[in-house]
Amino acid sequence: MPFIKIDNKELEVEKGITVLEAAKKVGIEIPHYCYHPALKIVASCRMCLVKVQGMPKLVPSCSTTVYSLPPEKKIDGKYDMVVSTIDKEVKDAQESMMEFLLLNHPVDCPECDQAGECYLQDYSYQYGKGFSRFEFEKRVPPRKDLGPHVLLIATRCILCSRCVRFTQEVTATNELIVKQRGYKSEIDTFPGLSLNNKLSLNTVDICPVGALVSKDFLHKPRNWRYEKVKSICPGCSIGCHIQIEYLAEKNEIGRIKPLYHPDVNQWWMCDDGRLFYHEYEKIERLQQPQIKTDQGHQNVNWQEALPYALEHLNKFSPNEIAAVGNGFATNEENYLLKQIFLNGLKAKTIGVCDHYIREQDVVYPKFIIKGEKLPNWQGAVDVLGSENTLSSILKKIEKGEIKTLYFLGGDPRFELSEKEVKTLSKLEFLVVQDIKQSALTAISHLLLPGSGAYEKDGTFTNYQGRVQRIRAATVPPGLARSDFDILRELGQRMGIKIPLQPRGVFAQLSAEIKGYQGMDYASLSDGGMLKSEAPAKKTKAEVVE
Amino acid sequence: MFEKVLTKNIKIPESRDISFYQNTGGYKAFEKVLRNMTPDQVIDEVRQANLRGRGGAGFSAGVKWSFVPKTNEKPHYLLCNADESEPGTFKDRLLMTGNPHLVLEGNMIAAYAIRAHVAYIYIRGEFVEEATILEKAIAQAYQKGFLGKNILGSGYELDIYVHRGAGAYICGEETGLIESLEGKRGWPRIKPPFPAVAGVWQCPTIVNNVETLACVPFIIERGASWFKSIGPESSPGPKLYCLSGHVKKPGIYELPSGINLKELIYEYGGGILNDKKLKAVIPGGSSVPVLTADEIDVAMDFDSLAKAGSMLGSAGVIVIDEDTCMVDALLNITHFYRHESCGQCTPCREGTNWGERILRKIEHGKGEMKDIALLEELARHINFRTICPLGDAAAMPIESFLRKFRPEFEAHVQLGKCPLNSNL
Repeated sequence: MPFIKIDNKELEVEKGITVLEAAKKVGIEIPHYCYHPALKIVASCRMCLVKVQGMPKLVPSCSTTVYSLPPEKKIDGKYDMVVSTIDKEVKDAQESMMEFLLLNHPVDCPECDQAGECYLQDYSYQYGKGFSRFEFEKRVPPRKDLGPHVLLIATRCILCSRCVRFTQEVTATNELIVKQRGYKSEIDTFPGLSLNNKLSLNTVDICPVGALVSKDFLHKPRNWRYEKVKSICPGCSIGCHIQIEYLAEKNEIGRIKPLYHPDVNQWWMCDDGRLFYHEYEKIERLQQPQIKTDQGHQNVNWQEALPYALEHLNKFSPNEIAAVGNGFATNEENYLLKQIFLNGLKAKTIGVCDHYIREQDVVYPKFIIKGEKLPNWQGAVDVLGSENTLSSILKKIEKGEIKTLYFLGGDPRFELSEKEVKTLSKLEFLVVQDIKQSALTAISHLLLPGSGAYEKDGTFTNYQGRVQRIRAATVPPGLARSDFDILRELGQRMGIKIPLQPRGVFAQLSAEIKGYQGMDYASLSDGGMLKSEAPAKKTKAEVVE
Repeated sequence: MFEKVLTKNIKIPESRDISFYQNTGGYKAFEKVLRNMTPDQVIDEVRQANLRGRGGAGFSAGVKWSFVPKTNEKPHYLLCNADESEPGTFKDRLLMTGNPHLVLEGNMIAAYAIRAHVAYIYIRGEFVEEATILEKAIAQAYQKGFLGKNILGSGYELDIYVHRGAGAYICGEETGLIESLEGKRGWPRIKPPFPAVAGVWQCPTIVNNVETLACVPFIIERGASWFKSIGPESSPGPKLYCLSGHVKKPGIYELPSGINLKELIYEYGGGILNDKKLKAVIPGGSSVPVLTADEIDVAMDFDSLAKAGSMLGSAGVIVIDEDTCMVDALLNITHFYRHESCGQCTPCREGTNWGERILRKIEHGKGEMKDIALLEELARHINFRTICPLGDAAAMPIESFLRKFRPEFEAHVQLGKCPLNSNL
């Protein structure tokens, strides 16, 4: 392997890696705009120029690869390559590139959404002059509405072409182009097209400046005001790694961005997933437990609601009881449901809710959006088995075999047909633990307001069988509680010992559920773990924490 | 006595016709290649001749051809660069109008040498007539069996297409040309990989200038030693010089490589127009560093001009007389490169625009001394830092004009107006 020196750091790296990536390995950040690890290298911003000993001029570190020299030609007898990122000439080039890029830039940081996470700002501080020598009128290309989600504020654009390459290489939809020539060059949509592919908001992420902005995030509070938490997108069965940015004081999500995961979503996520948090704004959230009386549904508190549930469930024989878990519930929640009903109430029938949105997969060359619009189908089946589903249980209700049902919901787009509602209304006792007002809640005997996907802690298992951690950003509204807490308290009241945190429940779950053996939260870490990679060694189930 | 070969019959109207071309010895070289030579022998002969690229870079054509893989894992392509756009350069145009079959024969031999079966002549969009002439010549060549399948019974197969550009200087840069030919924006590629390895459609590709290819039939016919006997050994051969500007007899002159520049202007060009004094000469197209009147006693070949601090480039000699404002001249040149910058990389896109605006400010008498220093710095910030040589082409004139004619720039600032162009 070539042995190289970058500034004062020596390292051994594989041949063919770029100088920029090699530098990253030893903690040296070479400034760059057009380079993005997912996209074709164009070396056009010229911000990453470095000096390589023996080369006649500065070279772009993003496209220059590490090579090895024959023994007799090694520099200082040992190096294959000697690179400087701090040489006077390099500094001069960096400063001049910053000057060039800012010549026509409006410097409208005070009203720019990118401020605070902008590479023009950051590199200006690090490499720029701090003032402009440009005395002429600035170029003011018009801002453009590129598509349903993305706006181009062209004055801020530095023509790195990342967005154009994204639509060429990742989606192959080719909506974006560079039009005109020279200093008149502008990003635009191809005539007759709109940037309306389902991954369009990724262009906003990869825009290193404030040129491409998300209409959803436009003029929202400044990005540094948000709390940030790593989680998993609940939009489909891929389970993209995300960062939820939220305002704790307002209990409000500001935006969601993808986090890199090499084997799940790389750098990307789809627009539907990114904007999925709005689904919870479209529904009327349940905020307080309710009991159905002759006068209609009456608000109660939790101290009344949970004993009421137990009291009525206990009236039925185990054969008459059924419970339905959900692909929007965490593995821990489904596991608690199973504990309560199979172990606590000795019920025979527990299944998963198979009523969720199924569409065709949307296939792009470098990204596939799954058509199963729920995050944890795989996990729900792993925990609850696939023997029973809501559909099969409905049949048993129709036949009068099942008389009481505990329904665990969570899907903001869950719908039932009139016929199904009619069937369910035959039940003698229906407990609905869900998030939204619906035809189902109208016929329920007991209503327990639960949590949305961004309000949960626990794990989801994606379509690959990868068990991944989700983390709560916001809290459920009103008196609504997290589904985990509701189920835990219900179980405790039945005398089942349940750990305080999802972490403890996961330890029990992993000891019991096939494929999860040996996993714990520490080993899942941020990246998650495939069931096929589980250590299989049985960890001792944690007792109550 | 030097014998003109490239332009020998150029004034005869029938010279475009294939029968005239054949009657004067045309297509003999191609026949010889097909019957008696292997591709490698052709490459060797051209390499021996030390034919250096006439487009401006001066790279050895034979060496370039030898970079093409010897196997045909992918199809190979020959691209003839007929996008002649450098200000002061108009030689390829003459060859295409006056001697189209020579251009085609050069293409055929080169294609054979690099084992290509398709050649494209990428011609500048504005050259409408030239494209038509080439199309006609190609049709004639097919008719006579010099193109198509099983050429002259040799089993060799070749098609030549004329591809018209849309009028962009940048498409004369070889990788910009390739992108354009592929139907994309004419944005130069980063190298490596070089076209000989991955060119058009990622296949091995050779890009040669029209004049370069036009020399090839003579090298084959008369041998490398004949070619080397003309002009200096380091860059031999017959050469077309484009003479323009303030000279009595502007035009294209076929002379041995390495002709003295002073002789070219005064003997062949008849001296300065209206017998004025000479101020400056740009010897190789507008992008190369300018020479002062004192510096023109220099041989017109790659190495001698490099030694003199300039370049042979495309051998487009622009003569500038004493009444020309050098600020205005530089403004004109910079305007050209600003207009032709493709906009892909930062220094060229932003720098050419900024440079032009500063120059306009100075020329219009609004300049300050700091502008001159800024302009100088600007050129340094563009030079050698761009993807393709267009950045260098824009920076070199700025740098050399400022170095050699600085007092003129300062006079503009001091007077608050242009000393020569009173109507500004």
